[in-house]
Amino acid sequence: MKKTGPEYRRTLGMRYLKGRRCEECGKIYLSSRNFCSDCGREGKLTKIDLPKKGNVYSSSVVRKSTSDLGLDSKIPYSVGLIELDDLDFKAPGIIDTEQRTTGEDVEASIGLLGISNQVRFYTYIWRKKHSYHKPSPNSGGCDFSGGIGIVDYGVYVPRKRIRSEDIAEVWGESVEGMVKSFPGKWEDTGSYAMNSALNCLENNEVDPSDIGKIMVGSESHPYAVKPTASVVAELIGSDRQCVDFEFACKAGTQGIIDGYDSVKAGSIDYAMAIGADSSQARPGDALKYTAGDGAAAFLIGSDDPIAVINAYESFSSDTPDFLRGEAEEFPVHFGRFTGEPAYFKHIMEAAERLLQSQGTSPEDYDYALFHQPNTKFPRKVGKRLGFTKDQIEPTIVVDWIGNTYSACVPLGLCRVLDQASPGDRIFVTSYGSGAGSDAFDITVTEKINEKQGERKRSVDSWLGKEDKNLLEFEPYGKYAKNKGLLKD
Amino acid sequence: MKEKVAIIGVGHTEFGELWDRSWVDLVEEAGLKALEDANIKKNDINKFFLGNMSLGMFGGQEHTASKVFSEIFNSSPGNQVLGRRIEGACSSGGLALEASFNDVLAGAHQGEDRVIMAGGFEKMTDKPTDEATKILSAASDMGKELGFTFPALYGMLKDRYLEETDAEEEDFDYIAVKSHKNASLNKRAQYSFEVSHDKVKKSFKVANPTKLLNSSGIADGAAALIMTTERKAKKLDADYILLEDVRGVNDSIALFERDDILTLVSTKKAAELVYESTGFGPGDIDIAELHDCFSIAEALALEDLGFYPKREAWRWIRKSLSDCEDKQAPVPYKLPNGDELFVNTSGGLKAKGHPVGATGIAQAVEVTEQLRGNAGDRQVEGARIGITHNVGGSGGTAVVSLLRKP
Repeated sequence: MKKTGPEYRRTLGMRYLKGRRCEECGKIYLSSRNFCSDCGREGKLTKIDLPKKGNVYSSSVVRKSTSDLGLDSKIPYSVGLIELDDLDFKAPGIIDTEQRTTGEDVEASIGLLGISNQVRFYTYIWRKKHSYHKPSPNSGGCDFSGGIGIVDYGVYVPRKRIRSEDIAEVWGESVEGMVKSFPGKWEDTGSYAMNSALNCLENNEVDPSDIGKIMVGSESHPYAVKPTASVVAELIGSDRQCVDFEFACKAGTQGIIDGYDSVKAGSIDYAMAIGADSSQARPGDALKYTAGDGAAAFLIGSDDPIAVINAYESFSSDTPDFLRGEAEEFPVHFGRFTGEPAYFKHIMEAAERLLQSQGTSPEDYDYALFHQPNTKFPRKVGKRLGFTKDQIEPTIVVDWIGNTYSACVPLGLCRVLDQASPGDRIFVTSYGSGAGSDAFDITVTEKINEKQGERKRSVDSWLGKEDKNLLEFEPYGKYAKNKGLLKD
Repeated sequence: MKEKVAIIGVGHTEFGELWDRSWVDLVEEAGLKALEDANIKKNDINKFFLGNMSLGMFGGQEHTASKVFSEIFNSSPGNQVLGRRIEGACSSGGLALEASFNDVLAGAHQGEDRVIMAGGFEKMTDKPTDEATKILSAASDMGKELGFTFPALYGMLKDRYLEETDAEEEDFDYIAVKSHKNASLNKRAQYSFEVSHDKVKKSFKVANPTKLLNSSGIADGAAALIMTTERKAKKLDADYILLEDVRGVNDSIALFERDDILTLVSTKKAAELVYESTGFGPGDIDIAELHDCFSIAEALALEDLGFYPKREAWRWIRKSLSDCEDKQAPVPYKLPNGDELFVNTSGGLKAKGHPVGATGIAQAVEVTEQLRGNAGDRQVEGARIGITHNVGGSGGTAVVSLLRKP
């Protein structure tokens, strides 16, 4: 049977690990309810967020399933009861493994449970707990602070990887040495966006209800009509403005501009700008080697930012280089425009405008980040603009996960923030087909040292540059299935 | 002296994929057989209670009793009867047994000798297996939203059992071997054939550690029995068996809400109530029809009903059944005091079949026949006291009854 709206709303608490505790007897419930089953009307139930860490009490690996949410397509999958940390409560949940995990420590992140009547049901999914590489905080620096900019950031990249050799073999081609990320069976653009938002709020005290605007840029939004941002907002506990952007690969940086302007105008205290994509490519397209998966989120505000946005410039034109028609499954290259008149022209134009308006030149910057549709373009355009290898290399993310479309430049910026020192100046230029570029001049503040010290996992760990042992390399068949290229 | 309840007739259809028969055909067959066995007429029935899990979803009918009246009771002029359907997942049959028992007692309290038909049925194979499985998942709660299937719920019970004890996964496979062995002597059984331990062990892992041959299947079937006061049974000169007590108890529907998932509190409490009211205990029981929807369920039931200490059943399963392939059916369990206990002589849910709503009644039919001494090839010699144990979901409901040869 198809699920309906009321069922969706009523199961939100269970899916997002929001429960109730009886103030009278301490009993915990994983549902929104009005009375304690022990104390009845005497009990007073208060809302609690259940811990996202625990230990598997009991588990089972399901190999035959049937559900309204299409779980039969996910077999084999594991379910279990998780004894939550610091709480006398066992939560039922899916464990992202195909093996027995009883007795193991797990932690929860958001995943796509299933789809009913086009509606995506997200839930916390349990995954084996690991220890991760953390950023090494820089010491010292300068006393630069204040302004409007990035208050915090968060990323999410799935663990699944596929090698270009394994793709090439299927298509009778020869492409070597490339790797890209792709979704696990419980992941999609929505879950990436949500996890990056949670990651972004992990190390600060910002009240989500003070985030006046949540923006998700993507070209693989789960819905054509209904914003991904609304799904993110509900999860993190914000209920104000929600909006989605689409501008090919630059929809992510559009949110940064919008957030900056809104905070500057004084209409909101904080904005959250997310770039997230499960990048789409026709199975036989050359993009099959590069279209990757990931997300990054930025909290934009004026309260003690870690990096200040000094200025931005944009450039756009009606250049049909790469596009996807309404209700079309895959994007197409319109022909000839991809490199020179599209990517290079727009990036150069926006970058030069910014250098001119700021009165700066390439040597004034410590990092130069450009959109990375492949491994060559960002290095080439940077060189053309006069930036050096030392400025460009620390910004590269494409080498480990491919082109994550709207998440590409945002992820690159997060990678830079993981390593930057106070006073460092960052030059950023995105590119989106269709076509346009946004360029930013950013200066890192003294707050960065503290922030780097708080982070629980480095961007390099998420990318798989560090913690390589946590990556899951898979054959083409699994990639094709998870990416939705095989239809049931 | 308190009036006792007597079972004076039983009826039982074949269990299995019965494509050529509707649910009404099945109820009619079981009901008429029970009337015939009791040697009474349909207009002697005052009330009927039908256990059924989900005729609404399986068959699109939600006015069951009226339909049964139209098909079965309406032909008798002047007949006055009231029936109702009772739902409680896989324990629906047990709940119909409980309701019938108490209705006879309520009548006796008012000086009436009511004659009640207790029936149970399920027609499951009209639906494809996937859909039937989905309907069955309505017996569980929350977890099903998260992909918890019934084999997975019982898989988690088994997984925890393996975690807390030194039992081996294959110890439980002997239970299925034993049940099939017993069922091979039961012509009504869905799977009336033997299976080897090796075959069970190597069967498909539906929800690890639950394997296909640890699981009961999907079946059609119905069972019925006629009960009245002992006084009336004597008056009718019936070959009756006493239904000493039936108790049902609920527990939380979801496993995660229980402190110790390896104890089905509903089973334990229902059994305690029955033992207390009847004065009989586990040591007095000769035969038991237990709810073995999955092999682990029989092991837990043996503990919760008091036959073995908690977390010890696996040792006795090993001791009693590891050589059962070479033994003559029915194969008994050895009890710690040296006695024997025959469990699921019918083949149990595993091998006799589990048309969910019929099970609770079918268990009582098997025990009645054993105590009357007409169980045919699978007769346990000298059986005098038997129990039935019927579970809904993963222990959200349990019904335990005790029957005695007068």
